[in-house]
Amino acid sequence: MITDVPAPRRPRGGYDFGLFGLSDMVRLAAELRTTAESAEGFVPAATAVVRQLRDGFVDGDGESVLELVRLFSTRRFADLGDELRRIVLEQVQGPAAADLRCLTLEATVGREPGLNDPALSRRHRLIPLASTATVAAAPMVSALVSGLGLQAADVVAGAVGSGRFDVFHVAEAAGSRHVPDQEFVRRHGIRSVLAFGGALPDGEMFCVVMFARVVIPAEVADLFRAVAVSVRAGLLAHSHVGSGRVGLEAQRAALREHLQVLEESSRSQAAELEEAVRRLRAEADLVDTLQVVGRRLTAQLDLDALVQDATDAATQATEAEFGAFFYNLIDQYGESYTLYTLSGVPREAFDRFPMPRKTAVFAATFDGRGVMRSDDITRDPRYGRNAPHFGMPAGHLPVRSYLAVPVISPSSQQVLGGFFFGHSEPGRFTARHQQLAEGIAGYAAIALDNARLFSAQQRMATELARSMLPTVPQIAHLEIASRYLPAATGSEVGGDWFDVIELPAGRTAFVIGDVVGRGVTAASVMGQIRMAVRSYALLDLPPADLLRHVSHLAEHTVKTTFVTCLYAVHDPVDQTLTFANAGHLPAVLTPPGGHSQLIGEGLGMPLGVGDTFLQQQAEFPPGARLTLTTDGLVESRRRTVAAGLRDLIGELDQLSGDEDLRTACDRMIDRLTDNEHDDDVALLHVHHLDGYRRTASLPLTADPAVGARARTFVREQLTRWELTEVVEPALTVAVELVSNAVRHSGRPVALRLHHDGARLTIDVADHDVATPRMSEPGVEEERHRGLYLVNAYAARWGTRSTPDGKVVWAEIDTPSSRPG
Amino acid sequence: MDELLSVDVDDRGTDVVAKVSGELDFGTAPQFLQAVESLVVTGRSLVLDLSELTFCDSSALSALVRLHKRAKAVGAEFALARLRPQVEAAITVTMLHRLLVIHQEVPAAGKSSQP
Repeated sequence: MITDVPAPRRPRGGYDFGLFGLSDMVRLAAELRTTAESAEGFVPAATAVVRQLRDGFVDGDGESVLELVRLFSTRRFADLGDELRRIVLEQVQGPAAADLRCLTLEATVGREPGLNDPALSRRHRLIPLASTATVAAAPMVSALVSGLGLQAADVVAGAVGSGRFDVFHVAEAAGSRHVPDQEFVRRHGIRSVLAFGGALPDGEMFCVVMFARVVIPAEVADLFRAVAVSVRAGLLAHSHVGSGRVGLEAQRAALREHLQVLEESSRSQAAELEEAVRRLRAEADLVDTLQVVGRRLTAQLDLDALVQDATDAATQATEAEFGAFFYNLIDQYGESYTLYTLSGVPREAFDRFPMPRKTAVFAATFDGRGVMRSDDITRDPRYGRNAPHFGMPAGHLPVRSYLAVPVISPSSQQVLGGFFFGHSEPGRFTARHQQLAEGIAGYAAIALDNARLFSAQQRMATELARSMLPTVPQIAHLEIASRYLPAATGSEVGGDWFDVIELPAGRTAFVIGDVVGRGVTAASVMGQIRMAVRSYALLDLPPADLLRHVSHLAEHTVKTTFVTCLYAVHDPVDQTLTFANAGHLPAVLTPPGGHSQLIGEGLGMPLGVGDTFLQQQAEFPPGARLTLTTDGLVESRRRTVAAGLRDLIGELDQLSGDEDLRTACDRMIDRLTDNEHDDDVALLHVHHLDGYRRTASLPLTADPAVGARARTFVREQLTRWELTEVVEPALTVAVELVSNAVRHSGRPVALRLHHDGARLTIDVADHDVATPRMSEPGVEEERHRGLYLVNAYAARWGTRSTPDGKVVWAEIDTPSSRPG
Repeated sequence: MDELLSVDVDDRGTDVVAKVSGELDFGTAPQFLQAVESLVVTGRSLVLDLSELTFCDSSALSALVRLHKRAKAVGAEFALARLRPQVEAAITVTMLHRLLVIHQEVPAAGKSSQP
């Protein structure tokens, strides 16, 4: 991450305490030495040094930030001029020894005019250092002396060694006991004071004191060690006492020292610099890592990959020996359970241990109370408090440094889990590691939230689709295979459906449909239409009537989409298939041993649009097959519907009766979709099996003897079919149905008997559309006992419309020992 | 028609016993009623001997209810006797055993009117 920071306005050629660095130090030191060297004597050199310092440090307006800069040196009384001697004598009030040390103000420069002439300074012009007590009594001197690392006694005795001494730095001048003149501090707004000095020949010393209106940072003050040495080297070019040059030897030594200090300074500065660069680079790397990890995590919807990635990234970022991520999930029953991933350690290392419980150590994290970072967890007051282990279980990886970060859902504020990092050495995790772990935990929380929401939605869609799928009933003599495959791409549930509905009298309805569109809307519309079809199917409406009713219903319930549906009814008695189609793909009928053909094409418009639907009938004898499907199977980006249907017919013609039907369907789907269906696929395949089945039919006429003929017919057929156990009820039922047809319609058509091995169906067709209703007759009521009798003898009975009338039917269960 | 149903009337003076043979359904019920109804309106007790009736449907039951009501209107007794299982089942299923008087055997002459 690169942030643009505007470069601070640095005064041209000047220095800024806030930005003072290594190169500044070298430059300033060189400038001061040259200035001092090239001066005409010691005092001019001192004056040049203080001026240069004051002029060097300026603010943005070119104003010096140094309110006052002074250079002092110590001199023997004997070496002082007459005027200064008089001042000393005034101060000591008596005779002065020749080697009495006097701190002499050599040069001064300040903002106020009164500060620019040593002669004008009353208090600091000259301070005789008569004894250690005098030194202590002069607060500023005392502070300087001790601040510069000298002994008062040494200064008094003129025993200051040639070794360099320290820098004296008062970062906060206001209120400091080291700066006695607080009045001056207040008046001039002094923030920091910096003093540095050095040894002069003959045990004398010098020091420079700077009063700054700005803060001088400690690390900048450190750099003035080198400045001090170079000023000393410059001053040594001049004789401190009297005039003329000093010895070359002293100057050489001073220069050597100057060099040493510079080298040392450079070395430490360079090391610091390298460390800073390394730190910055590492920081950039980690910020980068965090960015990359964040992007990767939040784009990941696969939970397993996500948590492992997060754990690895976090463990690496925190430089932990190992890391673990414990996360909570909700199973399909709504129960919460916890899983974990590990990084830096094989899974076996934790296999033997129970999940971390809510012990005193772990609770803070699992309760989401915040980050826990410990240099040595074994010394934490919360550690080792809980049974049974009282600390780490035996054999646990040794953990001293410990870092734990809760992962909290940004959407629900729920604690989703926690990251745990360990290291066998104490004090390994820094604030930076914690920040990184927190960053990754934040991303992990978002990613986990996303993954959880996504999987919940996916589960809901799948659940919805699955709940809509029917249970295909077992139906005698029919082998039925059904397949519903959600689209291989995308998560949204589609609106395809199929259904198999058992109708009365051994008949079966097959439904296939498609609600155009995807998602929950399509699925819920599909659910409604499916139930509507089922309801009308159970009313036993003829296919065309059923679709008309559902279409009217759809017109008022489905606004935005359209629905196609094909409805076919198999009647085992006459071995027919009756069907109607509301805009759906045609079905494929495969006659036994014959070629497959499309049926139900162009019989009507989609549901909600069409009003009239044509109905057709086809032979559906044993051995025949019916295939219903949706466009997902036959239509794709590579192939038109027509071509797809041709391919489907080709596949169906190759079906052999020996193969398992489900396997055959799967193979067919794979071949037709090239294993990658981009739409939902619904497939219903029905194979009419050969098997035990008996049917017989008697044409009826409306004459008084028809009842007797019906009885003879029933008795003879049932005797032939070895169903003598049910002859009595069958006679009563048959006669009542025939009686009903003769008396109410006057136009009876036929009496049919059908036995499928488990039940005997008796039905009578007539040319009357009025539906019979059973009513309980009053005890003296002469009529209405017919259906009452049928109801008593039949297991089920009912009626259904036919194109030219109706059929009333009744079923009698037959003993199950019949061959099936 | 004759081969399907026949009614054999035995006039015992105080009452009449009619023996119904064959099958009684919506086809034969009109003929049956025609034959038996006139016996009820005389006011004498009528017993139907159903030992030879092999089938009866709901039309037959309706005819029996009608005879019962006719007899009641003229204060005459009307009873059934010697029911075959199919006929008895049809009567029981339709609860008509609560309405109709049913005897195991044909009562002796003069006894049918006694409660």
